[in-house]
Amino acid sequence: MKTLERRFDYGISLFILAVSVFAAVKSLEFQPVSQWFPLFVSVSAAAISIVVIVFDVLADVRSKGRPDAVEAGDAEIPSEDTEDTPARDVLAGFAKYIMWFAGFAVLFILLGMPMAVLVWVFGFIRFAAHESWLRAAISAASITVALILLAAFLALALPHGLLIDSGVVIPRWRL
Amino acid sequence: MTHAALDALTQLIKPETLMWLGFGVLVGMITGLLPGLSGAAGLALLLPLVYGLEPAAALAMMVGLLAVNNTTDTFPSVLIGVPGSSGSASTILDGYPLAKKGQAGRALGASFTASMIGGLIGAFALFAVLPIARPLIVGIGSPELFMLTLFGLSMVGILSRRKSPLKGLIVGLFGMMFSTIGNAPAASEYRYSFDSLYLAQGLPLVVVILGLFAIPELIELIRSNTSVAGGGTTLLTSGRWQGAKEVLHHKWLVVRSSIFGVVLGAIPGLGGSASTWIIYGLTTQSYKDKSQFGRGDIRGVIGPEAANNSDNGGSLMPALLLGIPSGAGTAVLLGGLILVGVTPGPILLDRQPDLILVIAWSLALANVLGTAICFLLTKQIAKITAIRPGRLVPFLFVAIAISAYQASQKPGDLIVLLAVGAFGWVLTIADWPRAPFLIGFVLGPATEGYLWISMSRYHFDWLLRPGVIALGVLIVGVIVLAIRSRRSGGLGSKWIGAGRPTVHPQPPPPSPAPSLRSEVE
Repeated sequence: MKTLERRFDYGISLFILAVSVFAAVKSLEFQPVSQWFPLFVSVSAAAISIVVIVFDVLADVRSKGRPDAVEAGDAEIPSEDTEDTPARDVLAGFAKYIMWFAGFAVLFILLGMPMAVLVWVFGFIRFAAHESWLRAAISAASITVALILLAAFLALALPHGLLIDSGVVIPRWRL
Repeated sequence: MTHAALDALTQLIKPETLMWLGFGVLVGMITGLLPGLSGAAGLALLLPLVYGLEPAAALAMMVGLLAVNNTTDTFPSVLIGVPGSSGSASTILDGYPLAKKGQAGRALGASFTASMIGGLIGAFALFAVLPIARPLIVGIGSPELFMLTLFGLSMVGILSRRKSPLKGLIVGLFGMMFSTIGNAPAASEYRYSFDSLYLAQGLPLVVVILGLFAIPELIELIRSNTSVAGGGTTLLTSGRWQGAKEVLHHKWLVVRSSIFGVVLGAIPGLGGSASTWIIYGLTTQSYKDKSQFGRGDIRGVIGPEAANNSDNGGSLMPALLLGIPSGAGTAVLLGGLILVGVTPGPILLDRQPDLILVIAWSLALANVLGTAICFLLTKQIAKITAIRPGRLVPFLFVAIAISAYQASQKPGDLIVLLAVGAFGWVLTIADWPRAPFLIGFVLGPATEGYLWISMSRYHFDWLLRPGVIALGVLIVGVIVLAIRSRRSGGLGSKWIGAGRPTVHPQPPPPSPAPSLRSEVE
């Protein structure tokens, strides 16, 4: 976990550096009044990112060779065989649930709100949360009804769904 | 002033406004109960509802949520030793041992009462600061406001990432950078839009808030998929009144902790978790007999609990008066204000001071309401902590997705929600703070406005104004001090961890969301 944190540490610094440099270069194309602020912010962020990366690298270099570990700043470099299992689990867990969430977004756009909620909640509670079929069905139905009522009460805008609008799945009037 | 206060109270006690206040209190109580769901995430969920509401009703709902979040977060801290939010982490040290001795009701009763009194003192402080602050703040010019926003961002960035202050600062600047996407305020030009109609309007604040604070929490909740509390709801009701009486017995501790809570909350970056640890440290140091601290001393519950509610009043001061949020919660609140057409900062103070009084009243009323509900429904509320995340997360996620979709009603909202959510999760796992990103994002447009006005009116001469130079020196000084402190043992060990080493902490059980770090809320 600590190693994952360290890798992400470098990853975030480099990502911010890259985006900041790009933003600074891009800001040169803007009119002067639109340019000041993004240029100031992106150059500052890029400069501090470089300082942070240099500090982190120096901390890692200093910590190498110390038998006790390793804490340099927040750095830790455990041995390969102990580090990967939790890191892999953490990443796998993240990937799994972000895919579930992305799946809802796709259903939401394609099928519209009531259908997407019904299908996704049932699937999530049954297959991701490993609850019983009955509980999944009851939860999906009750959440869908609650959300329909809430959306009506608060006049929320909800998409009908691309497939339903085009009549591919079921006619729109049925919903 | 009294007349204005009564006018503000009249605005608040309309049935519709009171209903929204009550709704905010209920949501705040639930988000406080569930570790991982912070006040900022709860507020983010409510933001789509504020469209179309009267400003007073919207403010009442949002402040109601923030006010009671630190009242119910005591339940998991006391019952199972897991903080409901970062602000209640220090309560574990004495609250959890008390619960293990069968005195959970006593600890909860003391906590609710101290929280309520602290909240009322915080609300009074917000009310009292208005006549003093108004003439001072209205006279501040754009160059100084520009520097003040940078100072606020530096403080939050530095203090929210104590092990490496510069990382908090970069995240804040990164947030500001994202706020520049879309329509430029000073010229007819689109920046960083890449010919996308969606990006030309800028990233919607609601989507960024939901992505940054709600999605990572949901992922961690479902990854853990264990209920917060099992059957630990016994012995909750006995001893509550005894706990309440003990608060009155230690009245000076409550008053002192609340005043410190207000002062620390008003300093950007020091609210939430940091202030309660400092208060815990002060509490332990202010008594001769320290032997029971960390083993179940009721004073160790009373001090921090009074402070974490009074802290709300303090944190609202820079947010409302200067437009500088002191943490994630107030940043979301400012976002909400902007959505209902209220501009926080000197303009609000000058043109709509009555709204600040409505906020102070809402804070007071929400604290009383939240405490009353906690006393009346202790057992029932505690049962919410037993809901398994697997059953809760789908409902929350669907609500978040629908909320996000309201921002611009385009599929892009959902894509940005997930992208920002993934970024927020990476920040969380790498122990980088998320609050500065949001604060940078919220402050960005105002900061750019101040810079633009300064440049237009004074060209580069504004850099030589005494106030600007003083604030510039202060910013550099804070950054240098933070880096030096970190090298010599850490800012955390000197300020933030004041209470931690002096006690005999009981090891709390593992948190169901271990990778969620406490941060400035």
